[in-house]
Amino acid sequence: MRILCLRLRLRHDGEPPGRERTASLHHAAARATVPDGALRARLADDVEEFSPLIGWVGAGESASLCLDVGPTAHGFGGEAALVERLRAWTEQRRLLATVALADTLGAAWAVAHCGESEEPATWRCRVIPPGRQAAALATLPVAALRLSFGTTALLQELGFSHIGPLLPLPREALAERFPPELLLRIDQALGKVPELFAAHRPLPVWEAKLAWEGSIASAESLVAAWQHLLPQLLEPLRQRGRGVARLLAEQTGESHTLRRFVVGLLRPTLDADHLLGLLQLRLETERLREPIVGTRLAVLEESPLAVQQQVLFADLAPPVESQAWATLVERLSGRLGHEAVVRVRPRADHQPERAWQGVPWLQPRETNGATNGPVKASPLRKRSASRQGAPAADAVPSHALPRPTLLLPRPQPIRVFAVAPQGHPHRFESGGREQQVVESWGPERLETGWWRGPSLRRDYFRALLDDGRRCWLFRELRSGRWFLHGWFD
Amino acid sequence: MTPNTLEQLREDLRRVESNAGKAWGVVSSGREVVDRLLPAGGLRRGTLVEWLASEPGSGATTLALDAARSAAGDGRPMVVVDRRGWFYPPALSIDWPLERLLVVRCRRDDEAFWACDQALRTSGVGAVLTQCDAVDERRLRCWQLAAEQSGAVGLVVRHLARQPEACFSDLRLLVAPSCAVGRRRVSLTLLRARQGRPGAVVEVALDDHAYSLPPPTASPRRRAAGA
Repeated sequence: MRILCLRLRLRHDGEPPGRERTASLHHAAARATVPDGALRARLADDVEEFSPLIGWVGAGESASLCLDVGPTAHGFGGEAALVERLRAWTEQRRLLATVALADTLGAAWAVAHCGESEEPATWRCRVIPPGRQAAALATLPVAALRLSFGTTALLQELGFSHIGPLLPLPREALAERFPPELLLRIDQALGKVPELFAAHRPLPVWEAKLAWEGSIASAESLVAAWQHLLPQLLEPLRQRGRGVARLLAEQTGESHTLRRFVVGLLRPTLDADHLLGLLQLRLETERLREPIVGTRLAVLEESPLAVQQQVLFADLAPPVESQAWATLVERLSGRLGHEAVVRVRPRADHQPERAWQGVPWLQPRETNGATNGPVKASPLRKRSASRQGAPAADAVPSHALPRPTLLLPRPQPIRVFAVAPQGHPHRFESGGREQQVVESWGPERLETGWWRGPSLRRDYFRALLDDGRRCWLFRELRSGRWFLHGWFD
Repeated sequence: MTPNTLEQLREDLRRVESNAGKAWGVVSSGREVVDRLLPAGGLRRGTLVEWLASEPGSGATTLALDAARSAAGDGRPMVVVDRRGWFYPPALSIDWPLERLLVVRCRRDDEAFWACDQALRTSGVGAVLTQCDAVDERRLRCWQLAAEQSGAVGLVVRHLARQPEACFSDLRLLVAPSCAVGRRRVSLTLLRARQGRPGAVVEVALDDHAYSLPPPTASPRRRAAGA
C-alpha cells in the first residue's frame, strides 16, 4: 500500500482559473484557507482520477486528503509521474499543497504535516521510499503521531520531543507508562498495524437477506436459508477476485430483536460450503432463543484472494496442508470463539501470570507479533536474591530460570510448617495432604513495578518433594503467606 | 493351545494392528534414551501416545512437550488443547518455534474432546498435545483413528491414580519421578505397545537449564541423614 497525503490550503491571491468548478473553489478561498465540508467533498470527487480509494483524515486544520495510490501509480508511469500530475492538478485549482507519499497513512500524514515547515508552500512534496518510514519519522516531533493532547504533553514532559528516541524503547515499557494510543500510532506509522480511513465513497456492502412470511424455529431451516443466500453473496466478490474475510450473520426474531454473530477467517475464501460449515458450527453455540422471521448475511471484510494466500503460511510447505491448517483455525475459532484459539506472545513481564499473552489467531498477522526471539528488557524489576535475602547485583535475564510447565490459574494457598532460617520451606500442607520438601532452590525474587498499582513481592522456590515431584512455591513478602503456584510436570 | 500358537497369534495381531493405518513414518521422541525404549525406535506418526503419571509434577508434560516439538520439527504446526488452563508457555525453551504453536483454551470437556479430534484430523499438523485425566477410553479410540487419517502424533498426558484397563493408543508410557537429589530423573515404563513387548523401563534425565540462582540447600532432615 502506498498512501499519498495531501495537505491542502486555498490560495487568497490571483485570479480564479477558467474552470467553473475551480472558480467556486477560489470563491471559497475568500472565506477560509482550509477547505470546508462541501468543498472537501468536491475536492475528493475531483481527485478520484488518481485513486479509487480516497478519504479525508483528521478535522479542522489537520484535515488532509489521503489517497491509496499503490494500485494506480503504475498507470501514470510510476510514482514520480503521478506526483507531477498531481502537482498540475493542485496548480489548476490554485491550491497550496504539502504532499507526502509513504507506505503508511501515519507516516505520510506525519511527514506532510510536520516534515519541514508547518506553513504550506505552493507545492512541497516528499516521497518516502518503501520500508523507510522509520527513518523518516525519527526526526519528526511527537505531535506528528496524531496523539491526544495529554499524551503529547506527557511525552514532552518526560523529554521526548521527537519520535526517534521512542522507537528503540521496549514496547512493554511504553505500554506500561503511556496510554495505548502511543504504541498504536507508532505501529500504524511503521506499518505493523493496519490503519483504516473512511473512504469518500463507501465501498459497496455485500449482503444478502431473506425474510419469511411466517417464522421458523429450527436450525435446519436457518441453515437452508444460508445455503440459499451464500451463492448470491459470493458472486460479486468472485467477479472481483476477492474473498470473504469476515462474515456477519444476523437473525431477526419475532419480537424484532436482532441476534448477530461474526465468523472470521484466517484467509479469505469464496467456498460457500466452508462458510456454511463455519456458520453451522457457530450456530451450535448460539442456539435460537425465539422463532426468527428473517436472516441477513453481510461481508464485513473482504480481501484479495491471491495476495493473502501468499502472505500467510509461507513457511508451511504444501499448500494443501496450509489450507487444512487454515480450516482448522477457522473451525476452532468459529465454535470456541476467537479468544479461545491463540498463538503465544511472550511478554517481558516477570509476574508469572503475565509472562505470556494469548493472541487470537484470527487477527491480522502484523498485530499478533508472536515472535520466537528473545524477550526485550523488562520494565519490571527482577532480582535474584541471595540465600541471605539480599538482592543480587545483576538482574537475571529472561528465560534463564526454569519455569513450571503447568501453572495454576490462581496460586493455591498452602500451610508451611517448617521454614529454614534462609527462608526455604521444608514441609507444607496442600489439599489436606502433607508434603515433605527434600530439596529446594531459590529464592527467586519477583517484584512488580510501582506504576502498576499495589506491587507484588514474591520469593519463589522450586521444590523437590519426597515423592519425586517438583513444584513451584512462593512466599508473599508483604503478608508472609505461602502459595503453590505450579508444577514442573 | 501351545506357546508357539500363542506367539504366532500375537505376531499376527501385531501385523494386523500395524497395518491398520497408513504408514506415516517414525519420528524421534526428542530423547535418544526414550527412542531406544520404543519398539519402532521412536513415535509412529499417525498414532496416539499416552503419558501416564500419578500426579502433576512427575515430568510427564515435559516428556510429552519434547515429543511434540520433535514431531513438529519439520515445519509442521502443533496444537496444545488446554482444558484446565494450566499450560504455561514460558516453560518452553527459548528456541521453541512459537509461531507454529496454537493453543486452544477450552472451558468444557466436550469442547476439548472436539478440539483434539479436529486437530488430529487435520492434514499437516505435527503434534497435538492435551492433558485429560478422566476420559472415556472410547474417545481415545476416536482420536487414534483421527490421527491415522492425518499422520499427526497425538500426545495425551494423564494424571491417574490407577491405570485404565482398556488401551486404544499406540503407546502407553508410565512416568514415575525419582526423589534422588541431584540431576532430575524419571523412570519411564513401556506399559503398552502395539508393536513390541511392554514392560521395558529406562531412566531419563530431565534437564534443568543452567541458571544463576544460589546453589540448592538440603533440608535439615537430609542434612541430618548425611551426617
